[in-house]
Amino acid sequence: MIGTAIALIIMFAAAVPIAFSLGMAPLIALDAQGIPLIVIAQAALESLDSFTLLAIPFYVMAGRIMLAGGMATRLVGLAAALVGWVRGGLGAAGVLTAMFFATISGSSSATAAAIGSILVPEMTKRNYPKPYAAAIIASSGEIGVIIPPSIPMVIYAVTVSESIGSLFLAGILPGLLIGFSMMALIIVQSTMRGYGDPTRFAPREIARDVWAATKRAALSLLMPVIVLGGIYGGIFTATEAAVVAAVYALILGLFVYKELRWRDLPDILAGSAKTSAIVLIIVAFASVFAYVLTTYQAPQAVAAWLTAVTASPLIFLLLVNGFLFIVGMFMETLAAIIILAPVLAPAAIAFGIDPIHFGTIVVVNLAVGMVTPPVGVNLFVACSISKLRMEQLMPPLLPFLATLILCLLIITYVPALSLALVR
Amino acid sequence: MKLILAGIDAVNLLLKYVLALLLVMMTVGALGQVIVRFVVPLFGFNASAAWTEEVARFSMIWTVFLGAAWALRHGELIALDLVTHAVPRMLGIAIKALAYLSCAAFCLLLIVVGLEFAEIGEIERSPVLGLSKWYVFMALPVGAGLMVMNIAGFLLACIIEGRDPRGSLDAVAD
Amino acid sequence: QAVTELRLGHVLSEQSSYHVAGTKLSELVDQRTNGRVKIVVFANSALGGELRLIQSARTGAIDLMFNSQPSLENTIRDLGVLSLPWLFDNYEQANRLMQGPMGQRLLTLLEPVGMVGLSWFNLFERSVLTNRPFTNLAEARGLKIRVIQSPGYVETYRAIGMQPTPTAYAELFLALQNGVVDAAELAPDQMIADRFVEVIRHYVLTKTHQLPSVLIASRSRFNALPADVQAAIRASVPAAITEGLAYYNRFREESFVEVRRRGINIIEPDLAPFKAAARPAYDTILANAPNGRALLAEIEAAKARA
Ligand code: NA
Ligand code: NA
Repeated sequence: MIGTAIALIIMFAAAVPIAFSLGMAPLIALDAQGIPLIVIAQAALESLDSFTLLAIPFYVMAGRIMLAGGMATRLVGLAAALVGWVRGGLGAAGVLTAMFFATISGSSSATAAAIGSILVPEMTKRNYPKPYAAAIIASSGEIGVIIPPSIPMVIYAVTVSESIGSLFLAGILPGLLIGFSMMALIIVQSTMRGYGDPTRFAPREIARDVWAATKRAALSLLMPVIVLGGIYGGIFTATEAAVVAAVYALILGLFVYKELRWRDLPDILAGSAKTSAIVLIIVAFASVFAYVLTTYQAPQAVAAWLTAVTASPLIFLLLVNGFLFIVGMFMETLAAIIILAPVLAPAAIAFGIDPIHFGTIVVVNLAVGMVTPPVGVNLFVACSISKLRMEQLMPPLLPFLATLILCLLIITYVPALSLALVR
Repeated sequence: MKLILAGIDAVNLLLKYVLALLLVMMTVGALGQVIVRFVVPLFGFNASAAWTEEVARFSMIWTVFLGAAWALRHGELIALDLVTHAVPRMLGIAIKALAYLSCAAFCLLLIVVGLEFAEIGEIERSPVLGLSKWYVFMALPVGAGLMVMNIAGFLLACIIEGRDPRGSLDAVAD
Repeated sequence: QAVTELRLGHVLSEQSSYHVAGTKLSELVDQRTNGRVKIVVFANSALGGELRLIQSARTGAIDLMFNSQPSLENTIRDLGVLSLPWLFDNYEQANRLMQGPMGQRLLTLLEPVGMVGLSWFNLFERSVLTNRPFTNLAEARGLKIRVIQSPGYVETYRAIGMQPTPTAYAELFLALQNGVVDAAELAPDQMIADRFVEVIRHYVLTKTHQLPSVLIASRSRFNALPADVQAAIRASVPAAITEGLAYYNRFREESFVEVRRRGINIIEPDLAPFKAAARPAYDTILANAPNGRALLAEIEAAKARA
């Protein structure tokens, strides 16, 4: 087990692509345990065999089509008209867009992919440093799994037999807290550093711009209505909503705005496939790594230690948060939930912690893990979209991570935030 | 060498259109579900098209392995290039080249275990289409084979064009 | 002396019948081998979902598993005969047959594809939960129902006039809540364990399928064990299964009580018209199982004897 961990660190350091590192590091452990290497093929193929994961390519594709087909510019134009007159307004609008997409999307990386492909180029155009724009996208993507619907919450609830409906409700206020905290951070930072367009407050002019932008964006604004109405009206699931979004964007781009040409399509489609593959190949090989962790019962050992070391619920929660944070750095979120939730949840109940509150903590914490290096699916999406290296993303990302951790602590120690809407 | 690279890029051009087609199949599959479930009954038919879901899922599996292989042609898979940039330039490049060679070796292993697994999957049928899983599982060995090809292509291109193999995401030719 | 560690995987919780029987098996084998063989039970799909467990058993990546028969159908198409609707007269008859010689006969089908069938385990009697109650065929017509993706399940409900809709199990709660699907076919214990009672109001006791589960060993791993260890495992299986079955039957009854307590409306329709309407589906379903007709004849004969 230790050999596998060391091998992984060495390979990460030697710039072996993360996907391959996750597949190669377990070789030693598999050999030691006499497990046939064929499990590598099996784990990689099986982890991808999921209808839910399809949301990722579809939101990537929707984003690209919206970008090329003229929807994105219209939506961003509207966002800019609405809040662009504040310093950092477009960045804050990015977070708002993420919060809005979160009500459609159950996945963090899909949210990051959808808003990222639109907003990173646009923000770069408007005087934001590219790594800063990418950091906003990476860190606001996680709101996608905190504001319902949420795939990790479904997995958590099913794994520990808790109410999915309650867990969804519990995610709303924490999601808003995180969103508004990040918007505040962006406005403060942009004001201090002069990012974005300068402030110009002229009410009459703003109202006129907003009206014009709304008219221009009307059909684009219809998309979330169709998608949301579709989900809550019982026409399709969140994954299917993703494909409907992509096709609606395609129709608009080809036949209404006419900014998309048929001969652009092969490039857009193949490019979307590639971006999705770059993300999903990591999911595939992370499952090999997770398999080895499971066979060594490593998470169980740590969890047993956690419950032995303290009698205070407050310290228990702090330890759990620390533990999950470290797990979240290295492990894929769903795998971590599936392996850890059944071990941690009973311990939490023994400490007298509300199970729904605890579920919220676990999901928010592991959602932060999607933004922490070295294994963070939102980082990969943001890197892939912005074409930046991960280390270029790190400096601007740190304040966002600090904000997320602060929010996580508030969510942990103020149970009412999670439970107010449930009761 | 240039001829080899030209050959590799001919395969990659084909790969691009295959990937585009796979995404179309995924879209048709996922959209087909919605249409069949919701739109078709409006016209008084009672249908179900469970096969659409399998088409979408299986296309995605192929997309991932072929797409990752395609991305390797320009070194676009995500890696942490922190250390390779911190050490002296030639050492960093050497480490990166070694990293890619180890990936190629791993891909050869993937071909072996992938073929073995595909053979085991041959008798396993998908529930709806009745498709042998061999056709799905072959995505891994085929993808791994193309990965080896494109790792070679990428390193070859770096040598011919004198490019730096590190920090791969800067070199996107998308 | 060296301790051999065997891994047993299953997809249910630590409160499930699988886990109870697996834990008992582990205890008994430990005793019989004087601690030389330890079976570690991995719950909650920790070693993978059902399809992956089957592949793992075939490749030798795991040693033991509990699995459900429909997942095995993809690999052993003849087992599809057990997905025929209303194959058995009732739950008790089905249990009797599966634990008897007929069950033994069916276990031999696992051998050729790299698995050793150690014993059939508990049956999940599955009925329809819905928000659109029905008592006859006309009312059931057009309902969008989530079923297991196997011909025996899909074709049955299609023949009844419903619209089988593929939905991942993890997405089913939301799908029922939003009305993406109107109904689903599930066992009563699943309704409690996975909280479907929160989003549905009616449980129509169609008892369509008696879904069997089974304890399986990887053939390559099992045959590699010393003969005395193999014998110790085989000798421990019956007691572990008996304990697990008793646990499940208690659990099942408690689930029914709980379903009623939660205010779910239980509907018991006349099943004769449903069975008649589903009968034509037998042809389509058996078309997928090469030796299906012969096996069906054997099962019918065993039913007549019992
Ligand atoms: Na969401
Ligand atoms: Na992480």
